Amino acid sequence: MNSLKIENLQASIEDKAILHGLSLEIPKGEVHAIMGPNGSGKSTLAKVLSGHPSYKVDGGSATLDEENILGLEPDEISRLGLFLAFQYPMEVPGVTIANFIRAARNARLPEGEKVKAVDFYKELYEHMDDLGMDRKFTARSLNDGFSGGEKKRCEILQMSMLSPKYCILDETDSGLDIDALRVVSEGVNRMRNPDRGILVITHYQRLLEYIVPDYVHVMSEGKIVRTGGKELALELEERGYDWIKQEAVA
Amino acid sequence: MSLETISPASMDTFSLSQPHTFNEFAESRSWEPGWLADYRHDCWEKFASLPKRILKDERWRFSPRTRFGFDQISGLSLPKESLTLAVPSLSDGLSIDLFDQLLLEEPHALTLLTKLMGPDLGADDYSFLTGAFAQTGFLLRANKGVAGVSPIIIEHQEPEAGQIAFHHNLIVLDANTEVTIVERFVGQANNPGGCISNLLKVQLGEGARLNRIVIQECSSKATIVQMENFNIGKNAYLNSTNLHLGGSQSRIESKGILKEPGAHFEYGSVFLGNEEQLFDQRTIQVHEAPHCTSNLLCKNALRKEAKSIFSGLIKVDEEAQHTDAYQTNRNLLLSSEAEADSLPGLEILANEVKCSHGATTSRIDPQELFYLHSRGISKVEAEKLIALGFLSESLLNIDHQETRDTALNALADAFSS
Repeated sequence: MNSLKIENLQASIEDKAILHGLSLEIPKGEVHAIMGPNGSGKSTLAKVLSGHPSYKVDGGSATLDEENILGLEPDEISRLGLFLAFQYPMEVPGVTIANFIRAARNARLPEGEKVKAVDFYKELYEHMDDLGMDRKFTARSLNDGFSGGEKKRCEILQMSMLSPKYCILDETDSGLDIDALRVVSEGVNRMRNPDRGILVITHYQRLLEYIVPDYVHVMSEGKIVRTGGKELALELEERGYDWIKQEAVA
Repeated sequence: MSLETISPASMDTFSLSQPHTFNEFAESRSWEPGWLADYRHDCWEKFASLPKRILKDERWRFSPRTRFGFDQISGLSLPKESLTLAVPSLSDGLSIDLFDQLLLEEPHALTLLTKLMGPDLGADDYSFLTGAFAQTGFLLRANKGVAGVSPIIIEHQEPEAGQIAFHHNLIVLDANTEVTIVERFVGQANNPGGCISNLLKVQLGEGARLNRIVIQECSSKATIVQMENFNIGKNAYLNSTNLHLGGSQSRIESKGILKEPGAHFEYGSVFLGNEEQLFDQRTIQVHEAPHCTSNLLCKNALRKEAKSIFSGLIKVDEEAQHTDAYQTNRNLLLSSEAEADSLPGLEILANEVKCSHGATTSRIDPQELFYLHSRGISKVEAEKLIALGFLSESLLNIDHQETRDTALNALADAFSS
């Protein structure tokens, strides 16, 4: 089946177990949200799936359209079609946005082939216009001195340019004011289509007013403890996370 | 009068440490003016009387000095092949000439060479030997108010293995002139491994502006010694941007002297080291007059067992109030065997100054690497992008687009090799 499928995933960092047997399936065409309190393992899930070297997989499986991704290098996972929009995108001085995205695009072409500069810039500018980004940004160093909103727009720009099969957005709403949140959400919504699965990780319900999910999962202590429709997010907003935690313990 | 120069073959026992080598050389140049013969002799005497070895020479701290010895040198390179010029059509009052040609046509123009000092930052042997043996070099002159539009390209050729090229160069810009030069140090393809000893003396008059870009792409076996002394006059501006790629060992000595109020000295240097390359850089910003500014940024990225040494001093004299002077050295280690030593220094005698210096040595941040890696870019490519980004900062400031592209491409190519 065409999906991002995670089964009984267990992972740790520096011998501290964070994910305790997490299972989740995101079929193409659907948008899923994971909500959960701080420390529940949301960001760890994103990093483990994208191959972060600091995390160790202790068990379970994760597949992208039935192809295993656990234990692969981050670049291999990316080229298979998974994209992680970072909660805290790194600043990389001296590497321009254009060169960075072009290198990522070239990495997807057969050895020795390169994207055509003219076509590349045309496409890049279209996406930048959609995201309300000044074209001068192409020559700026990646995230260097960017505001929170600019960094997140830049993440969505990369996502648009790489058109992945599955996207994970890790707390994309953090550090955004309401205008930036709207622009970023519109960018994500433009990418919703029957051939793409999207996982939105967030602490707050607010983002889900803009990116309306098909399903909402609640995560606690490294597991999915409840799954529901979009109304679950509203319930969480109202009642907080404590009742879920208590239920999970009980 | 003859242009015949001494050829390596004509001296069976060529050795830079033997007096007969200089005597035979001086004899072959007997047609030169007396003042030049005296200068050569004086330089030779100074070289010959240098102590064989100074223990704990601070000016060579951290440097394996034996790598700059003369034992392997068995001859002088032919001056005609050693230095060439590509000159655009020049405005009246702007000229660039080769040392050997001027000797025949206008020898007095060279007298300033003998009067101006070198940087004197440690490589006394190379400095004196260059004074004694140089048969070529360039002399760039701009008369008052003249501005050159296109850059003048100067090519220094790495000699064949076993040979040494001594270049003694002079730039004199009169008041309110502006000139851009690109100095390229080119590798020897046939029999690489020669040595270039390049001594440059610069004098900028009031309001003069000199943009100098150096692109060094010698072979990986070459020895390069660059000594440069910039005398910057009232409200004059000097920008020297340097890209160092080749050479088995390089010693760079750069001195900027801010001699009169309003002078500005801008210095940027980039070195990408590979294998066992050694890059030994010594700089000094001397503020002699008030209201001057200087800014120095030296960046080194080191692969494999490459080693860099940065030793820089900001010296502010008592009279040099209202000085703004900055000095930064940043090193990026790309392997566990690479090594960077940094010796930043300040010596401030005035009290109304803004000075800062900083030195950092770091490795690629694993989080930065993961970020690029997670976009599908291979680890090798990601490291390259980050290192190129780190190094290219200074080169992006080169105004002349063609030169900027040349420098950036040379850097990218060096990284791919």
